[in-house]
Amino acid sequence: MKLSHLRLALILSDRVYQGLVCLFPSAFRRMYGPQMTRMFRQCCREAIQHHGLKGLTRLWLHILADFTVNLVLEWSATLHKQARDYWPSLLSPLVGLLAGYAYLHTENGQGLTLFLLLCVMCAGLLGYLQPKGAWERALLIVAGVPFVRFIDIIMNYPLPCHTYLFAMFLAGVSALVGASSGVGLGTIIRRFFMWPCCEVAWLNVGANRYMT
Amino acid sequence: MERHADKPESLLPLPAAAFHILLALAGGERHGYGIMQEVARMTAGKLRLGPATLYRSIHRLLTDGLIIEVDERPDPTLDDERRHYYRLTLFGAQVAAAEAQRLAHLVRLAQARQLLGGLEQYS
Repeated sequence: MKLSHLRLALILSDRVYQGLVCLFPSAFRRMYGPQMTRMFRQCCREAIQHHGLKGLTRLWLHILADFTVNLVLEWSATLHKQARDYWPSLLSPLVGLLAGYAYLHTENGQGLTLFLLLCVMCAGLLGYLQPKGAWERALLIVAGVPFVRFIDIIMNYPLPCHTYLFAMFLAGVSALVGASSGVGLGTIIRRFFMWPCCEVAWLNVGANRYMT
Repeated sequence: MERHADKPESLLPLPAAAFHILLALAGGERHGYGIMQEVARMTAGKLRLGPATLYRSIHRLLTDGLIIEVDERPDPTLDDERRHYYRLTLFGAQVAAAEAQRLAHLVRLAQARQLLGGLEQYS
């Protein structure tokens, strides 16, 4: 095999691997992309030095299997983390919209009860499940209420502005109360009642988070 | 960042790749390619870590404080400055020791069940 062919194979492999590394999630790619490419280059040189083009082909088969499995695992870990971090924030304005709509478009007192219950319960549940950022999410519930006005404008029966403002105020108070209660209750339960259960769960997480 | 609040046992069982990396680093600081070569040498070429497996494992080990990245190099004049060197932490050594004890216990069990001496009884 001519030396120029081997050199071409080396350069081509390097380019292809650089392109493949771009498929990793950006945070991982920024941290480890250059190191991975450099290591791959060294592996290629070693394979060509010892076994020529046959060695490079064998290396590529190994690299492709390694790359595919880890790409899937890294993306699934990243998406799982993103979903866990963002789903309560995405859900909160929707709760505000639903509660606000129920309150502003129900004739009797049931609308107000449903509105307050939805705001308190949802903010409380989200605060319990994810204490970090509970108050910000309570405000996101309030931010969902003005969207009722957009719907009303589209439907051609907008109510006076002060009605929406009052609904926002009520949503804010009830969501903040709910979030605080959820966070407080969660802290008490986790601190005093669920400690043994948490220990067991942590042991399992410890074992599983390493599984590749 | 090291997290000494964790018990070493809470991270067990370690996957093969992570344990081999810790074993390689128990012999001293190494860069990524050095770790890969050391693992291949320790296992007589049976385990060759690919770049993706190696750096994903390194990422997890760094996150859990089992290893740290070091700035100083063994010989700066001879070394590529782009290389990142890793070192085993005390917590990492404790986790590796706990994993080794777990595996040693399994080996003792296998010996007691006569799985290591020979398999004549199954033939």
